[in-house]
Amino acid sequence: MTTALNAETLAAYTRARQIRERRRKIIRAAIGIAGLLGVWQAMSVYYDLDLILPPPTAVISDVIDTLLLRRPDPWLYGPSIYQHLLASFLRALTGFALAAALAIPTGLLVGRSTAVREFLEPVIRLLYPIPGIAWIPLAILWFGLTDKAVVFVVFIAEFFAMFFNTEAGARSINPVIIVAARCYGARGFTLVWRVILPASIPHIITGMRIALGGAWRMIVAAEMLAAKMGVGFVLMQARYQFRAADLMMAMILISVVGFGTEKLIVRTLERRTIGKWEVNR
Amino acid sequence: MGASAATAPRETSARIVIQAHEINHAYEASTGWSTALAHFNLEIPEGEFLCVLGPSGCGKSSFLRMLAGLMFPLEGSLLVHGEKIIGPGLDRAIVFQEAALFPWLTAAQNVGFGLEMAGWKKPQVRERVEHVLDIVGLSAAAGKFPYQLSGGMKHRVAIARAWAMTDAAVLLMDEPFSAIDAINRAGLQEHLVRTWLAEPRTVVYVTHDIEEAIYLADRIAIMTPSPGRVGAEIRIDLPRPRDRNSAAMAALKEEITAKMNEMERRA
Ligand SMILES: Nc1ncnc2c1ncn2[C@@H]1O[C@H](COP(=O)(O)OP(=O)(O)OP(=O)(O)O)[C@@H](O)[C@H]1O
Ligand SMILES: [Mg+2]
Repeated sequence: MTTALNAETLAAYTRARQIRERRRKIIRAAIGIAGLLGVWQAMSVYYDLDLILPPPTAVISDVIDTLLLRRPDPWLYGPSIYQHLLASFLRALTGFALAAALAIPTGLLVGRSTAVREFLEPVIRLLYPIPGIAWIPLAILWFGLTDKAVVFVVFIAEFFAMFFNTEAGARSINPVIIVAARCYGARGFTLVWRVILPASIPHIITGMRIALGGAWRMIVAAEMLAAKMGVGFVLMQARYQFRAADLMMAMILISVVGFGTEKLIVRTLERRTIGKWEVNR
Repeated sequence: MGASAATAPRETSARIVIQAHEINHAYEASTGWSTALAHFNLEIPEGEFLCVLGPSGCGKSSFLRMLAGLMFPLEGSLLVHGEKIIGPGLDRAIVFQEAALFPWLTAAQNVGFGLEMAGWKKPQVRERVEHVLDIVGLSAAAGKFPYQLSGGMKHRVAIARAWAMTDAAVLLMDEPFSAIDAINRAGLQEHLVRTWLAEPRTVVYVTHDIEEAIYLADRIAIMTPSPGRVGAEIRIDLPRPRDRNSAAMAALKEEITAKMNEMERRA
């Protein structure tokens, strides 16, 4: 009985395994990305596609120069890249927030009230198949080439992700929780606010995660057609100017901002809530 | 605590809390109506721990759901303090078969939920919650979330949530421990008795477990097989806490089993 597995040894094993796994993940991710860059570089050089497919080295240095605001060539897109990114980000956030403000209450009501469901569900199901971009012309007709048009399109497009998730959450609440809440005196608005909303949070967060990613994608599409500023605008300008490197630079920044937002905001939210709720299900 | 102090107060003049008179109830299904309760009569005095005992499907839960105000008898009257039940209310607190805690609230917040709904001020809620958690022996778990509690602890929180409701004239429990393994169930029953002794309340406790009923009850209302009514009432005068292995318990068990078998035969 000399070599008992004491807690310290076991903890060390866990740590070692975690380090191993993290290192493996990083290495594999690096290989994947390097592969993409390699194929890209090879295509670009081998077929001599400099004008329409500049090599990654050129694009990456373009990204760095743009971010450091020290481009050797003239900047053809008006305000600095940060102002464009910020403009896009704020529009996406506004559209997202408006969508959430409408989709979450509606989802809760449709999920819990047969009357509301029977009134609203057909309308929502009819609107759902219309893709977000199909709304862009109408948005321009209504709002002109303004922020409002872009925000409106994001709002319409992201409403559904949050609505359907919230509704599913509200509908799948364990009935005994609702009965308990009613027996302990919750009704009407209090019941919704204190019980139905928190009970639906895991689904709502999922909906928000999908919608936030969707909002960022949609913003770029809308801006390409309906804006005088923003990353979508930069993309479109780069095409008119035939600047493939700038085009791809903008695409990379879109990816980086989208990825960063997802990691930062949503994951934190999820970690704070979902564990607590779902372990119990 | 002396044995006499541990027995229920038993003035025959105790105020009647619950009065069920000639309740008939049936459910409508696709195959037609099926009767669940027929000529159900029961009176429950204040401070009594009453167990409703009966075979599966005899209508125990139906009766309890009526008391909770979650459904209404088709015929007959069901009164709490002389008033007709018109829906769920804070004058009745309930414990379900599942703990049915709110997973996003801590144990303490779960226990305080009903009090907050009743409009209590925060400090009073906190004081009452601390007191009740102490009675059920869960002071240390006050800040924990349901997922951090064992199954048995969750049920104790559920009991604390009901017990916290000082304005509840009656606590309703529908087989709260039936999904718990035998060893933990015995522990939970002990906790329940201790809680009841610390702060006696009128309790209607539904079970199909004879031993549990004998261990807990002041009085057992034995229901006939479906359609259910109260076929016999037995008073348990043993002092608490009770010894599960005593001869008196064994004798009672035998008597009740015989009664239930007899009802089964006649049904
Ligand atoms: N919602 C319902 N619809 C139709 N029939 C029902 C419904 N609820 C209960 N019943 C029937 O009514 C009778 C009584 O049911 P109840 O749930 O009250 O019995 P119980 O005594 O609580 O049984 P158990 O010990 O199994 O919980 C049963 O025959 C049951 O099938
Ligand atoms: Mg039942």
